[in-house]
Formats: sequence, C-alpha cells, structure tokens
Amino acid sequence: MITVRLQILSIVIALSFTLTVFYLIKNDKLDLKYSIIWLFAGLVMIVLPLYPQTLVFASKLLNIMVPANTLFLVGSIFLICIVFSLTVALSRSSMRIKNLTQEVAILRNKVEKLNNHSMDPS
Amino acid sequence: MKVIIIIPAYNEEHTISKVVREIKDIFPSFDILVVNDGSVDLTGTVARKEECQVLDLINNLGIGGAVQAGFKYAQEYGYDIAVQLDGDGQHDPLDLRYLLEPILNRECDVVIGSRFIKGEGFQSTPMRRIGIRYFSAMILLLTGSKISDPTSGYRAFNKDVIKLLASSYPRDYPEPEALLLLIRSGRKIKETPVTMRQRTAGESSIRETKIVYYMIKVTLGLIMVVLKKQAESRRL
Repeated sequence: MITVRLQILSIVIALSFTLTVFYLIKNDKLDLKYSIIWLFAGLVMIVLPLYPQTLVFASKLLNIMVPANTLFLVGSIFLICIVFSLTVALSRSSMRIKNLTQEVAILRNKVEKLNNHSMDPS
Repeated sequence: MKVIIIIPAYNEEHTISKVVREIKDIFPSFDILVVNDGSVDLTGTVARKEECQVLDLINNLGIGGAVQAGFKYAQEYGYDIAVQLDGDGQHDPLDLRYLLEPILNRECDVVIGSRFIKGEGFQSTPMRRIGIRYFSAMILLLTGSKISDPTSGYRAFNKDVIKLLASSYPRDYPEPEALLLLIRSGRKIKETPVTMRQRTAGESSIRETKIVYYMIKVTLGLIMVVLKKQAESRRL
C-alpha cells in the first residue's frame, strides 16, 4: 500500500506541475488549445494519490496483478496520444510555414519589381 | 504564349548564371524564374545579376516547396506554359523546344524529358537506375502508363496543370508522386528524349545513403496518392 510520505510527495509534484501549467497559460506562454490535456493529466495526478483505491479497483477490472503496472499502462497510452497529437500539429504547422514562405517570396519579388519600376525614369 | 522557366536552386552560385544565360541565349523571349531555396551561399545575389526574376525562400523548403513556389508565381502572372529545369546545369536548354512542342500542339498537358528513350548522355548511376526502374514499374502497375524516367526534373506543364500543382504539390521527393497525381487526375503525359549532362558542381538532392529512405518514402507517397484519389471519387 502507498505510504503517507509517497502520497504527500506525489501530491506536491502534481500540484506544482498543475500550477506551472496554469501560470504558463496565464502568461500566454502556453496555448490553451494544447494545454487542456495537461491540466487534465495534472488533475488525475492529484486525485490518484488521494484515492489509491481507484488504481487497485482499475487493476482488478483489467486483471492486472500489480497496480503499479496499471499506472504505467495508462501513463504510456497517455504519452503516446500526446506525442501523436503533437506530430499532427507539427505537420499542420510545417504546411502553414511552407505556404507562408512561398507567399513571402512572391510578395518580396513584387516589391522588388515595384522598386525597380519607380526608380526607372522612363 | 507566355512561357516561364522555373529553376529551383539550392547552393548553386557556381552554375546558376551559366544556366540562366544559356537559356536566354537560345530563347530570349522566355521568362526565367530562379527559386532560391534558402541557399547559404550567394545563389540569390548571383542570380539577380542575370536577366531573370528571383524568388528568395526564407526557409529551405526542399525541392518540392521550391518548385511549387514557382508554380504559384506562374499562376499569379498568368503564364501559359511552365518548364521546370534544374539549377545545376544537368539539363540542356537545347532540348526545351522538344518539351514545349507537344504542349503547343495541344497533344498533351505535361511533357517529361527522359534520358532513357534515346539512351544518350549521362544515364545516372547503376544504383539510381534500379530505383528509377522500380518507380517506373510501380507507376505502370498503378496506372497502366509507361513512363521511362519518372524521377526526371526536366518537365513542361500547361496552364491548367500549373494551377493544379500550385494548389497541391508533394514535398520531399516530389517527382514520381506528382506524376502519379497528374496521371490519375486524367492529364495527358508525354515523354520526349533529352540528353542529360553530368552535373558540374553541387550534389544531387538524393544522396546514396538516403536511397533506402527515399524508396520507402516515395513508395508510400505513391500508394497514398492512389488511396486519396479513390476516397475523392467515392465522395463524388
């Protein structure tokens, strides 16, 4: 069973993590769109050590003998989902950067043409 | 007929002026667009001294993104024909007339310059030839069209195809994929013999060590084009 000391440590880590996320969103350093999932993760990290029975219950449900393994399983699935969603977001961003780069180049060329034209006395 | 020659160039300061001048000497009426793909050398500066337009991409987008920028430019200024030609001097501008003729005669929408029809000039390395044959076979399998040189970057496109490719063009190793896209969208493609020269400077965009990655990536890309098209036609 979980010790009180570990319980306190877990909650402190989870709380400081959640507060950091809050702080970053407040200061516009983190997009709310990408942070909701992290806030949710923080919440789970706070609740789980408070009610360790949930983990034991879930383990029995899944026929997992050691509750810690349930934790690892859920953690891994969560991380894979996050990384995957980031790859999706990255692909979208790189497509946008590509379009922007092309557009900027065409506009720059247009400005160059206009400049040459206005300098031309004829 | 407004014709534009699109030259994607990445670190080609030594060859680019020669390529531009060679074209201008033979076809003075053609406009030339050098797409400087975020080069770290003086490609942009050198090209500006020549009689051509220059697009400076602030990020290195790779050949696909650079060529697409050229199509976007061609579309914006209403060109009737766009020719893609490498900036390293591999493609002989004398062959341009053979690339343009079939489009001018409205025989087809796209012309590909193939180095294998006559078998003259630089025939690529044996390793690469295997890769090229493989893509050729794959395109034959997927579409029933015979294309002898699907990786050739010497191509001419008519107005309607310029518009299509300006809106969507594959990114990393685009040639075979773009070809499949065009065939499957019902465009008529013709190959014409050209003589390629061994590049005098610079490196191929595909290094030998990357060839396996390249093959897998393009294979997947080709399969995706087929799947995408099927999904689209089902929606219609």
